[in-house]
Amino acid sequence: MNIYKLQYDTKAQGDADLLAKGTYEVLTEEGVTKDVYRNGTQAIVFINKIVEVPATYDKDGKELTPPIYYDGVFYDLMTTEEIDFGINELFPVDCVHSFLGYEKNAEGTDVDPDELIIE
Amino acid sequence: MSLLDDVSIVVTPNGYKSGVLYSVIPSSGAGDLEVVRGTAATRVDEAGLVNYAEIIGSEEVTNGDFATDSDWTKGTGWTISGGTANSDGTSGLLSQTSPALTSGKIYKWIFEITSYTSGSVKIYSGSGSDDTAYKSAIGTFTQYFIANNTGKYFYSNSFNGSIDNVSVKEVTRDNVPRIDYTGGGCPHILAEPQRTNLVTYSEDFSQFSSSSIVLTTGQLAPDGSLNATKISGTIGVSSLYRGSASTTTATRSIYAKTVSGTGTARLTSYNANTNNLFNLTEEWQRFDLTGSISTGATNFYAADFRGSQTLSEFIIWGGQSEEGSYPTSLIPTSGSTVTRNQDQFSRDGIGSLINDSEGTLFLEMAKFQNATNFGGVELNDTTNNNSITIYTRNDNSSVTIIVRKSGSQQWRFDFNTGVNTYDFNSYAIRFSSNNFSLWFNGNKVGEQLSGDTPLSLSNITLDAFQGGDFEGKVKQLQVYKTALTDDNLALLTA
Repeated sequence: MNIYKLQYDTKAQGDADLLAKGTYEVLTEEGVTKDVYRNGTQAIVFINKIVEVPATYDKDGKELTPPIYYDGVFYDLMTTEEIDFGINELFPVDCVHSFLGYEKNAEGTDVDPDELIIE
Repeated sequence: MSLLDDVSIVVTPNGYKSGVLYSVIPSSGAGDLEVVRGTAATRVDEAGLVNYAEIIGSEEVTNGDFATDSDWTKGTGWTISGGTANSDGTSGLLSQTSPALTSGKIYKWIFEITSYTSGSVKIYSGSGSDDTAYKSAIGTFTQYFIANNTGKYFYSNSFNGSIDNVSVKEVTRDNVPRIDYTGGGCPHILAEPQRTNLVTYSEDFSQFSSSSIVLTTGQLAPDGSLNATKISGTIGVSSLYRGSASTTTATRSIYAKTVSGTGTARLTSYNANTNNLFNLTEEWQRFDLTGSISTGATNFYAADFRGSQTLSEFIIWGGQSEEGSYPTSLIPTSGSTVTRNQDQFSRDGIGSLINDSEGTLFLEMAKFQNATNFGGVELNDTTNNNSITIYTRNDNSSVTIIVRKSGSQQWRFDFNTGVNTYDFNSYAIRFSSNNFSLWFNGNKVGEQLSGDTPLSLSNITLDAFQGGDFEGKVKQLQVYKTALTDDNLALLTA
């Protein structure tokens, strides 16, 4: 299995690139439009922005200072296919998102699906 | 003549392995469904415990009961006698290298400490830190770990005691179909969509921000472990939340029970919400809600005592926040958000088991309450140009049947069942040339005496229209190569 960590300037840019690379298509059936995975895609996870400095809150949960984010928006892609994402591919060492049963920082090609973390 | 004489495919919650859900009929494997879900996933087992759907491999240990003084290499301080392996308090290894484990795979290791004086002992595969949990008490211990090497070792850290009944088995969790017992009774096949748990520590509430809260770990949890946490607070004062872990539209859930008696508590969202006051009992329940007010919406409140409630302490486990209109099975997390992939079930190349000139498709199924997709079950020619489709609509009470031949719709039937489609109901679609009907819970509820049947049906899938994955539970799926009689259909769906 291949797990890609991706960064784009905007969601529109990211969606367009993933669509152009054939990872999904947009299907409208029975009046409902949805993204349908294609060509070996197992999951596309839109992570959105990633916090670099967390927000602070008062005791009621109201935000005191806003979070500071890394530039751009982020995706995780799980697929059976090898895809060249060029400069959009990242190789983080402390991931904020993972797939259930995979090591937190699992990424790259040929990730062993049995590399499970279980407690 | 029995219905079983006519049926060509029967799939029920039965045997399975990674990537396969076995059909009952045919037993040759020709009707087995392919299962794809590239991640692990949890379910409720027959004992009512929440755990991973997994395949346990064969025994990797020889002479695990130490019946003879053989098969193990005894390092410093270790002996085998009296039916146990014994360490005299010095540090050293007890090992077995054959059969070898596979580095990178996960193993379930069980062993028993039958006598204990001092020190501690841990399991080890030969390199790295694949398990660091030393054990230092009498008891039976079960641990899962990723093997960093190929050996089976017990490492004595000045351990003075005895071990017995050692078992090591490989565990596989990806692509394993889920036979789920939620609600008790007969099990069902669980088909869930992709979801991400935004709560980055689903069981470790010490990672949450707190105000006037005391946490007591080590409580018996719904998975049978001691990983639940007792939370004690002051009504009107205390709160426990994880920031950046939810949204205003998310579905939030958590397991909770009282320490004793019954009472109310506000769970998962900010106290001023009106949908978060739950009645807790001494039994574990999973509480959920969808949607919250904007105040504190990005926080996941394991508990918020600042509103009106009666309980000042209770036990919690398994916090989850997921974007969607209903809760799905627990996605355990430990330091990041985590995604469980969509369950996909299909089987192609079985044209010999599906008759495209006449037949019957029978289902006993339930959608998830408030599922909003057009998920369904379909016989097709691997496209949906030729197809027989039943899908559940988003109103929780209706279904639609669509039959297509060469891309042309032959029959469409929209049916309001008058009951909840999120409860289990029986559906049968009978098809033959100029004769289509839907049977529901023992009655014929729709019919059309015109239209052609599809061509070249060869595929069965829990996916309507090549993209509407079924979201729900299935107890039975049957395909007949004949258009069953009215009497048979009434009997079958009753």
